[in-house]
Amino acid sequence: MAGQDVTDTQRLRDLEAMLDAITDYKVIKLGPDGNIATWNRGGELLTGYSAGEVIGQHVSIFYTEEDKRSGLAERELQTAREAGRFEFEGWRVRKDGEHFWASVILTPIVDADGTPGGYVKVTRDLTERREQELRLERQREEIMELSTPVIQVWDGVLALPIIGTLDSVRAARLTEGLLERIGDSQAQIVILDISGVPTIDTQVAQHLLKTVQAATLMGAASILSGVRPETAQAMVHLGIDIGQMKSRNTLRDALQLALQMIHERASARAMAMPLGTE
Amino acid sequence: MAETPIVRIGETLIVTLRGDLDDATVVSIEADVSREVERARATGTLIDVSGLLMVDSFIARVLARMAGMIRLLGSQVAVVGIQPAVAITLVELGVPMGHLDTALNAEQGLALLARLRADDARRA
Repeated sequence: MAGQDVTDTQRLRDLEAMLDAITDYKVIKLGPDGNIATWNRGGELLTGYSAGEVIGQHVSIFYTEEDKRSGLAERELQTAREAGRFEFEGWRVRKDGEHFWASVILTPIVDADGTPGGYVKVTRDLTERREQELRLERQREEIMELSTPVIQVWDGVLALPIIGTLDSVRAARLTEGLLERIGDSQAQIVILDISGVPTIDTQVAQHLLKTVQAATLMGAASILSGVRPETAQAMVHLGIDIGQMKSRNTLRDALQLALQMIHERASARAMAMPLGTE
Repeated sequence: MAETPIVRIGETLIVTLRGDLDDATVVSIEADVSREVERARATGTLIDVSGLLMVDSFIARVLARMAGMIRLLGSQVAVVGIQPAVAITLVELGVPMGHLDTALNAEQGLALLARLRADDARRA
């Protein structure tokens, strides 16, 4: 039996050494109540806490104040218990208060006799990857903004050259950007130039019509320009009805029409105002 | 509950909608506006909604209803100052607003009313 004990002790030491060798991951055991039972070197490197500081503490010491208040730790343990596993990515807090983006896997441990024996929790610091993702997202947004420019081509006339394929995300941005500009510049006419759009399908047309409707509600009239013969054919075959919207073949013609419309509106305004008030 | 300001300039009324509109407020605004259109013999009414930053289908229906009511009383209607977010919501909600005449601001709204009055006279 003594030999067995030595082997067991040796095996335990080996296990501990192995866990401590994992420096990139925090690998810890939690008791059934969520209190920290074991600690490894990876945990120390990641959170800044030593074993003495955390053993016996509740696992929520690594959580943000908000997560603590919402009882995230309890929910995690419950999910792991019920589903056999819990996976999560989110912000956690180091000893010095710094936040890190953690990838967490929580698994319940069942003892040999079938009773719950707590949990094993593996945590990895993915802050760098997260920052990279955020950077990419920002870049994507910047590119998106660059790809939907609104140009003031004349007093009261905005032009929106649409280039490339319009998906729903881009279309939403485009609508938003255009309406903001209409509000800021109080432009009365908007020229939507679609000569740079490779194909007009029903969805793209729907997006454009919605944009036009929203602009109309704000009080700006829209002119479509740059409709190529094949686009015109496609639109008619798809049964796309542009309603009252005016359309011109080139941006030049569209601008001419815009100036004419502004002139007409100005004379109507002169009529509306008694002499001398303007 | 704030009083809805209704300003009269000649034959034109200017109604300013703002803040949170609930059922009771809307009913009292409708009563005030229709009474005022009648009393002032207004030929044009400007509804300024630049103070409304959010709308729902209820407000959208209210606007359409109010415009219909004012037209029945013989006045032209222009809605001015619809904010970008409001315009998007109205389009997304699919509330039919096609028959509403809109302008960017009060000045352009007055010009629009002049055009509408002229059209109306021509048709008559």
